[in-house]
Amino acid sequence: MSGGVLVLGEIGDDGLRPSTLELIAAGLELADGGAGRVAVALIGADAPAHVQAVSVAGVEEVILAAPERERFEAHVWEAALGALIEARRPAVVLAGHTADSLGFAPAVAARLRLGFASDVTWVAWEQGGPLARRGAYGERLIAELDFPAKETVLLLLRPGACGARADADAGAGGTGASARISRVELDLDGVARTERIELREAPAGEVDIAKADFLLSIGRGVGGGERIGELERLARLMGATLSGSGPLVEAGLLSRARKVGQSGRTVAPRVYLALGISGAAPHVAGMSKARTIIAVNSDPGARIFDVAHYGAVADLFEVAAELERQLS
Amino acid sequence: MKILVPVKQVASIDGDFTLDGAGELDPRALHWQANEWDAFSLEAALQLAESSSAGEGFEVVVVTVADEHGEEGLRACLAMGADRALRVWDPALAGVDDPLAIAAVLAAVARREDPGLILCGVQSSDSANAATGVALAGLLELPRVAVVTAIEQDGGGLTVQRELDGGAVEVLRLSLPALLTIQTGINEPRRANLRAIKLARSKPSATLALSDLDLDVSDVREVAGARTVRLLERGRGEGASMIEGPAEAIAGRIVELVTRELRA
Amino acid sequence: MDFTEPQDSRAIRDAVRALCERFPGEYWRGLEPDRYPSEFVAALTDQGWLAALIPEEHGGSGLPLATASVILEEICASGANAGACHAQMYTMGTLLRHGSEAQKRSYLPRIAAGELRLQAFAVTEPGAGSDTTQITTRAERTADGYVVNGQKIWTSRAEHSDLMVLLARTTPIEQLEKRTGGLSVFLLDMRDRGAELTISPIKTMMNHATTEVFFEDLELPAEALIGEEGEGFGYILDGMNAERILIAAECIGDCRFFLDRAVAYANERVVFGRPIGANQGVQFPLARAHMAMSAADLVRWKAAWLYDQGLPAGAEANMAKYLASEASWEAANAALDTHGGFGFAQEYDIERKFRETRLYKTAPVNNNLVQAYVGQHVLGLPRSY
Repeated sequence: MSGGVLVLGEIGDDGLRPSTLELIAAGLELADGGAGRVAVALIGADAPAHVQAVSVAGVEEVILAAPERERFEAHVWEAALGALIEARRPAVVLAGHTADSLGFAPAVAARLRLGFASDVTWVAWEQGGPLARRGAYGERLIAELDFPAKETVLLLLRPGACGARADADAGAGGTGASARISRVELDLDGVARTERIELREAPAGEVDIAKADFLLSIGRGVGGGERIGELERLARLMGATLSGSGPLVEAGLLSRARKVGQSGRTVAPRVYLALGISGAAPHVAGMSKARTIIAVNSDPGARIFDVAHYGAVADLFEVAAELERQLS
Repeated sequence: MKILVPVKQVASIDGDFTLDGAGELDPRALHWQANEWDAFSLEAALQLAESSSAGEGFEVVVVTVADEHGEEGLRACLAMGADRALRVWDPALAGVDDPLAIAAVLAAVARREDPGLILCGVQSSDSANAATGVALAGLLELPRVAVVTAIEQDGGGLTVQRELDGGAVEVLRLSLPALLTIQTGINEPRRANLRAIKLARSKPSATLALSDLDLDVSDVREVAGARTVRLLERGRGEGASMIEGPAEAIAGRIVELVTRELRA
Repeated sequence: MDFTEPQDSRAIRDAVRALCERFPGEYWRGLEPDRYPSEFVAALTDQGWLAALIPEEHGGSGLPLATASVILEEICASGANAGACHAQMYTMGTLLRHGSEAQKRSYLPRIAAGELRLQAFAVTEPGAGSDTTQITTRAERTADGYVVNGQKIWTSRAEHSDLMVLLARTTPIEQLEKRTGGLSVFLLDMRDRGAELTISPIKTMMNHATTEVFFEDLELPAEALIGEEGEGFGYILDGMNAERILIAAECIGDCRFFLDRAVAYANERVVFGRPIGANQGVQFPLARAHMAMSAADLVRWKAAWLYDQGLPAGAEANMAKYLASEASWEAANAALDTHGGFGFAQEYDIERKFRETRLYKTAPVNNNLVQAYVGQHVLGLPRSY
């Protein structure tokens, strides 16, 4: 195979990551645009277990690379992806812009002199090659990139940002009906360079805000932090997960795991209730794909109202107190 | 041991700006400041140097690929405690900001300096590629860990923690030489005091041309991963449908919307 | 013409600002009406900021005045009050320029290290304000030194200083040939004094730790004399240009504080369905204050440049202080008007800074006297007072 799209599935400690299905959906869109066939590569000892999940209609081939390493290890994945690219010479490789990929994908791109862009939020096949968009100048602008004279282009797509949501587009998983399965043998002797000592689960009470259906998100408008307790209580009452914008995290008022936006998490919940969030670009970049965004801010000129579906100009604590009264 | 810390000045856009017809930004709209992540990687380097027994001879070297505007950032690093600064510049590098191209330049610096450890910020706040450090590790074939939130010296190597998506933490051991990309919040970067700011001027600092690194500008441009076709403004969106009335009415409508959307 | 700021300004601004962030508005409000910001001053001293002008050979940083002015500007711009400690920076100038080697060696390193505070400058008397030649506090020669009797007023920070630079009369006024003669400068150690030295605080409209000081048969050793006896007036004048340039920089910092706060508020506060900043009545005073600040800042930099080159800087130093204090007062009023009722509320810090910045139209030299100086000495008009 030369040309076509190679999607790199991501298998985490908890199984196939949902972002894999988003990558496949994006790959299929590129294929529709003329990029060629779509193959999915799975790297990992338990890769065979996930063949069916990635065999979405339109995926022609699932390539298994099963190093003996049980878990992700950046150098092993680097060697495996490098070998896959050299063997298949795809036109486009899609991977997630995730904590794991960031440990090896740029290294592969640099060594093999690939076309490369990370944190990509839009991709299309135009005039015989990929065209990608990503944030620039702290997300204030969007840069459109092309990749002249590059045989293979490796793109890291921002989870939740490219195409529609995974569950809407690629379905909850494939049927396995049409995809051909092939294996790639890798000579990975001696490439492991780091050793996992342990995995510490997220501390109790710590949350994965990216998995929440309903986020109650707070920003600078809450002031110095004396009243965050009221909003935590409201979030519990509403059944929402509390998240927030950068300034609160940097001020130590909210844990880092709850940060939405650039240098935090990208989220796409069903409901995003933004209280006192001004809507600076780095924040909006992390939440604009939420299905319903409701914003309360005392400043009618706040940029959050440009992306919100529903807005109210009001004191957030007054609204919070009313919400609490009506719900209890 | 020598620790190499690559840093950069990042561009941010203050206030209003306009793109011209070709999708290019007037450079006058840009405002330069030190990358937020770099203070953390430099602090981590300084702490490692300080925690080792005095006789070991740690040297912390900061490096940037920038025109003379980069000097200010380097001086701030020297004032914070770095021992030496390097700036790589060649007029032919003007406009080169691709992470792979910068990594190629830094790789040449690293081959010349032969550091035992390279500490990069996870990313820069302007372009946020999160790629330069790991690309550099790839070119130098170094063990590396990305998005590091804790570092400890461990015999001849390091034990580090890395942040995973979702808040879990992986603890890893790796041997030196190595490269880490450092996450914000790993430490509390120190602030320079007046004496240190003055002292910074007397610390060694050098400017290198590409030829000093046996690099040709075409080598650098060829490894660049992408070309910017144009810049686009972010869409302003449709605008929200506004809920009017007193807090009571607003809260009532929010409850209604949340209930409907979560059920749907 | 090069408008680049002095070397290291950016680093100094960042570092000072970071220090000031540890002392937010609540800290300053908590000190009112009359508690001294000891913690703030200790933090500044620790990091060496107040020793900026002390030469390196005496343990300081030996910075040019222009660079030192950046420190005070940034303190004020952050919302803090530099008035509590600015004198620590320049009062030692008299000692530095006119003191003996022994005096410098004995005091400057300890001042630089923060072990000794020298930030009281006793010149003005109840009967002699702007006309310094009329002071009557008397230092009479004795066998082994001097005995001082008299009274000073508006001696700021005397309670928070170990040392005082004192201007006293050593020759009675009627015996003088020259009006400005007969005055001498002493370095007075205020520690361990009894009834011979009385310091009484004066309550003012802002927290400035100013005092009245009474001397009653206070004995000074001969070594306390700085420079030559009878030359004190000239020595004091010498230090005033530096003080005025530094105060101008503080006023620029105050302007920045008022404008930052007012612009943010004017953009955020909505009345009649639009931000109040959209109203010309709110916007134009802020624009004017910004212009006044920008013009004053240019004269401040020019004055500092002249001073650092060792060129005559009297006219520019006075003009900078005048223009900057008028600009900060204009900015203070515009900020107060912008904030409406909230400008008067303590938690916004506008009213506090409003009171603090008003001082600089009156001190360290009255703006009327600056106008008189410019009229007479710059323009060549007849003396007006």
